[in-house]
Amino acid sequence: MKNSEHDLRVLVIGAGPIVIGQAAEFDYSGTQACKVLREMGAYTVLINSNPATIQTDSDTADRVYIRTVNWKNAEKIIVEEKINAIIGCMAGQTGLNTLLELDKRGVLDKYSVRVLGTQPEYVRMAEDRILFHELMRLNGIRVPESMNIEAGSWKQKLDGIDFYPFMARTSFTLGGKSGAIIRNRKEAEELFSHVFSEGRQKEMEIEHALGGLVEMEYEVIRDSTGNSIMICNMENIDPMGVHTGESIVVTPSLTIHDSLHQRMRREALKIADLLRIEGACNVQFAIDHEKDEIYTVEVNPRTSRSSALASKATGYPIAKIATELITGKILTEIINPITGNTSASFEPSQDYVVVKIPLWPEKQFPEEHDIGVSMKSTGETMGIGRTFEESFFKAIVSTELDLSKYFMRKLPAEYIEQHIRSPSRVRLGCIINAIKSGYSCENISEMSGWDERILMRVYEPLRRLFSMNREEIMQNLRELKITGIPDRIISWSSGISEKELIEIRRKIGIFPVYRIIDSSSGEYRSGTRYLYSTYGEEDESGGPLEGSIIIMGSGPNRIAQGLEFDYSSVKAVRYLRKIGKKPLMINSNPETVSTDFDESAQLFFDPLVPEYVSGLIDMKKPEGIIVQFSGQTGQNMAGILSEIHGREIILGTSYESIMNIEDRNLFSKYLQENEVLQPEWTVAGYSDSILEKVRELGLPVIIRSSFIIGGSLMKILRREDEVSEYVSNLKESGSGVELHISRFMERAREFDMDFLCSSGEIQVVGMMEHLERAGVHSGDAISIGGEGIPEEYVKEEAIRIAGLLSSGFSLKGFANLQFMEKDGRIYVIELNSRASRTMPIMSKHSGIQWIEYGTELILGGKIRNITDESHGFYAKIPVFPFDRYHNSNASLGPEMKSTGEAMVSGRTLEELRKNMIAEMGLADHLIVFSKETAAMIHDGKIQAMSRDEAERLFDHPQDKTVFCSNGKTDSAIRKKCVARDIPFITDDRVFSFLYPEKMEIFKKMDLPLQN
Amino acid sequence: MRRFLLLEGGISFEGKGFGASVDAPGEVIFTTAFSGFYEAMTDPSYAGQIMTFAFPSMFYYEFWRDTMQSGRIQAEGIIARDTVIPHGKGFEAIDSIMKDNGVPGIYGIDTRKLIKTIRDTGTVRGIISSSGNMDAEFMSHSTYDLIRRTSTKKEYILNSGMERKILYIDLGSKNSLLKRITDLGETHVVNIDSRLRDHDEYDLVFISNGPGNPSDHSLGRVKEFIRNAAGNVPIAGVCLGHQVICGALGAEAQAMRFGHHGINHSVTDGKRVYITSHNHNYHIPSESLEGTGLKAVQWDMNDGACEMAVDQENQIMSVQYHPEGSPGPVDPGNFFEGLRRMMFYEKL
Repeated sequence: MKNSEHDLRVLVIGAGPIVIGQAAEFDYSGTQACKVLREMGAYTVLINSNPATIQTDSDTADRVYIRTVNWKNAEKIIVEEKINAIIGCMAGQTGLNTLLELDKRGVLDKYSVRVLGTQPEYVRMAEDRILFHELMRLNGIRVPESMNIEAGSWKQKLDGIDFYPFMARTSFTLGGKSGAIIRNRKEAEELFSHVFSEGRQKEMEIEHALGGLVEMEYEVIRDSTGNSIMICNMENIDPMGVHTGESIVVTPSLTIHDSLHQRMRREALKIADLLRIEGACNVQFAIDHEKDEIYTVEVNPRTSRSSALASKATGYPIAKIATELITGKILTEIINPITGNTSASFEPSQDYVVVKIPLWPEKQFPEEHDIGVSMKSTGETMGIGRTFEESFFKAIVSTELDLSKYFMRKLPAEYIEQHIRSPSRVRLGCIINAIKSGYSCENISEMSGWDERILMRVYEPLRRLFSMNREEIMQNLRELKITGIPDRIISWSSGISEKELIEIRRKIGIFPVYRIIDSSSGEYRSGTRYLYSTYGEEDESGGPLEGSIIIMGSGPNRIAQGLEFDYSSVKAVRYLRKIGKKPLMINSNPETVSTDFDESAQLFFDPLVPEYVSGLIDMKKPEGIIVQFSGQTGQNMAGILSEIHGREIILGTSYESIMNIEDRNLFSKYLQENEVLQPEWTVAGYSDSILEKVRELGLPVIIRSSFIIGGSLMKILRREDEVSEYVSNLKESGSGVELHISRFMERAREFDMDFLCSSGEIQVVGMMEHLERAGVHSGDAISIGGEGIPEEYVKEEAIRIAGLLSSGFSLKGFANLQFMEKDGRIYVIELNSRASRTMPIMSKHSGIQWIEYGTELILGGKIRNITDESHGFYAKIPVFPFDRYHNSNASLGPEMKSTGEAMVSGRTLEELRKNMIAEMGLADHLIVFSKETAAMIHDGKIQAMSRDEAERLFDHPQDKTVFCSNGKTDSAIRKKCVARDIPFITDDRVFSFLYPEKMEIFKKMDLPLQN
Repeated sequence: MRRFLLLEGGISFEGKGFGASVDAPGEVIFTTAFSGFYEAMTDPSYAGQIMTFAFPSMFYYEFWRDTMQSGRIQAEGIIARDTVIPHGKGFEAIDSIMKDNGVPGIYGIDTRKLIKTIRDTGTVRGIISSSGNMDAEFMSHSTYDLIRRTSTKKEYILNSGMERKILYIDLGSKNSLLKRITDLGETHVVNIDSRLRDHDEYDLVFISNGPGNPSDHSLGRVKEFIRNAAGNVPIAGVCLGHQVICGALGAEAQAMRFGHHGINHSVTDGKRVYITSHNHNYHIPSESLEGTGLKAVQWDMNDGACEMAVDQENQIMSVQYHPEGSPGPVDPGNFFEGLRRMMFYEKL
């Protein structure tokens, strides 16, 4: 094998669009894998449809195919590129499923493609719960009781189930999607009849749910000769019953004795052996302390979210080492990349503690607070501190959520107890509030299932903080900081502003210092540039760094602020290094490439809140900080950083301009003064009679507050009663911000334009047209771009406006303009003075290094007048987490709901259409619903039917696609589609773009199409 | 209560005190293990040493008596990073045992800075002091005293009546190691001062782990006994026992810069790699085995030191690491299995 490295032609499978359960972690592991392959001289080919990734950057592989990830496309590439090896273990479940499909269909055999990593037969054994349980039991490894239920005989088996509650899940899940906890016979009967009657599934395995037990995870890597090591273990603070992706996790474990730890470690290594793991795997255990029993719950035979977390938590690059192992090296041959002179076969040790907290889309999906065995979080953030309490508190502020209400006042006992008792995304806040309200540590522990010994470490410092008044806080500030309490938490608790706290600390000399993560607790000298902050110790960051520039990352992955920003920050980091600058990355997201310590001159893993960013500026004395790759986080922080460190600290567009753009009222006023068209608008304080103002303007309206992330708090109101309801909700929430109300323009076309600016000049990056009409958030709309899109007159007017705004606001660097066209006129919707979500897609279509050019401008460079000579068309197709939020009505609006997107291209519009249909999984049986009637279209034949008849077709969801022509109101149909995994379209403009030939049919059906 | 750690050479650290309110001198070392605090603190090999825990958040779990590796806390002092040590069952128990045993502790100091100091300058002598007075006298403990203190005072026999007989020379043994050996046969536990004569009576002579310098002259009698026994009876040992066996047969133990203390060290036999538990300030360089009849068959991955020495002909086998774990991985390199084979079935 080693002799043939140069003949190696490897296809690396990517993970596709970001969905819940499969986020940025596979960009990190996949990118590392490609890097290793290229370094060893292998011809590296990638397939991934996710344009937001660094993995799909042209630098990552020899050939990058931005195509839908499925076995068919993979096969084509295997043939085209004469592939002889394949890696499927770096792309989550999508990667494994694609690999298994290729194997099953004989593609791998046919073209003699070798699987690098754990072999398909063993992957199947790990993934198929029945086989897995069998293998474990055969080897004396304890697994939960389980039973296989078949569609034909479930009624007979019902009486034999003697292990309630049980968990019902199908094999091959993604983030535990189809998991459910069944408590009794009645629920079981309901479930089986439901699942099997739909005919989707022939069998399912049920297993004893070990709710309430302690959950542990072990990260293992193993080479092909059987050497294996444990990288770290992780203790889930939320007990079993909460998916590990939904749980707050601490690493390493804190509450178990060494003997128990060693038992699990040994078992994890044994399991890796039994499954012939090559590369990385993750083993999950449940501990029953009372019975002194450990159960093996699950194995992931691949890199995972946890392995990304483990890599960042320990500094040990799991995906990188795993790639070396699966390409034939053995552990003893690899040098530890952290020290550079010791062996990679060692188990990292930490002299700090790491806490992970997941993030849920609470604003976008406010309906469901419950969490459980199925994943609902979009991302996670990680706090690193010298002690557990410090890392826990840092992780809390890293979420960038406003949790002030839990710190400020006591909430109703009933509310907090309910959310502490049953797992909920507000559990953490409620636990904090319970501490504030005087519940005992024991009581909170009993209600939540959180270990009292862990809770105590947070309980005591918080009790002390809550007991302090302003003066006492000032007197004890140093001690509070050394205890690990961030300014933001002190601020929430005391009302002293974060800015004031920073100023006081700077005056009396309390600054954060930085410690190195070296994976050996200081035992070996290391050259790593990976650091985190703490207080009251020695600094290891080396102090001020000449030529350094801070780049602010975008924090945890969440709806409206995701991987796209990470792509841009990494590209900027690489560019700065290329031109001899020293980029310092600060970010709090363990999943990403930006937090790969190989990328920046120094990586600071810290919360993106003013305290830590300001502290870093004080320590490193950089030339400045770039906030344009940080999404809304950076825009919101520019002000306070400028006030503390002077306005020159912000490189690129100044904070005054950012304020004037972000404040919608100021921005609208500016447009008005400069005679740029915009929808009619008005301002209202929440004490004003909003209804009256709305009447003046005329319904429908869009109502929103200033300074937003991804359109949160934005609503389209069509009726007066909706306005009244909005107003009363607003009063209840007590938010005191000014509102911006504008007329909602029906049936307008919406566009996105990215451009670069400097000294009043602009450089157009690209424009995209939304297929949905204005009113759907730009992140949620299917958008297309390419030659002739949009029409010339639209382009010209947009460029004129962009030029005007660029000089008016002295824009410097990146900008994004959203505008619409109606009746031939262009109206401005919104301007963002930062790199947008669409930058990666534009960069990838054009092949132009836009991030480099934009960063050059931020540093003071001049516009270069680059011509985009790319041809063809491309589309951005968002994906939605409706399947995780069953109570949501699965409709689109001004609030962004998509978690990620895919990109497809075509040389012609026709080809683009074809590829879009494939990516969206649209099938050839179209079921069309209009208000009164329905029809099925297949092979050019129409079969008219009643709506009820059409809905019955859902029982056999295969090959079906649904189109609701009056989609906005037909929520019952949409929900059914979501539940049965049937792709659906609700927008007639999207439909007519994808199926222009079907328009005739609609005319016959007399559907209300207006296009 | 303020308390200080003073290092020879003038560096001092200030923290808060716990455990006994006494001053204590010792060699300052550090361990990187994140679990098994109680096992480590009670491990006799740490006698004479002030133990620094690199892992900062300690004492979350309860103190269990059966984790103890000897009857008391053996380290001279304990240093922890934790800034807040709240009232938890784990801490309260260890605090009271430390008071009973006269062992002082400090928490809330910059342990990483301390560890880097030790890493860069080598193991250093220090004092835990309540005064912070740098005029303190830095002293070293004599190996003989440490071994006497930590090993059995009286000779005794365990598992009497079992078929095979073992002579167990206790130089400051961990309970878990003794337990593993007694599983193999009737174990006659003796100490450094015992009369060592009739090796013929035994099926195995075993030298335990323990504190101190393996080249100390007080170990001369044990080494002489080993030399006489070699070839007549199987001999085995762990850690200090390994160093003493190799030393007896002519190898030279070497003081390490700052030792190995942790549960994550990798050892290889040339093919496989094992993660092992280490706790030693001296080791046997592999080349030093030349001419002794012993062969290094496992090595430390990083410094190449001998981790397992074997003389097949004379039935001798010893390991530098701790195959009994506690804390750490248990028997990763199949030492006990080898021992069993040596005693019961076949030659090595």
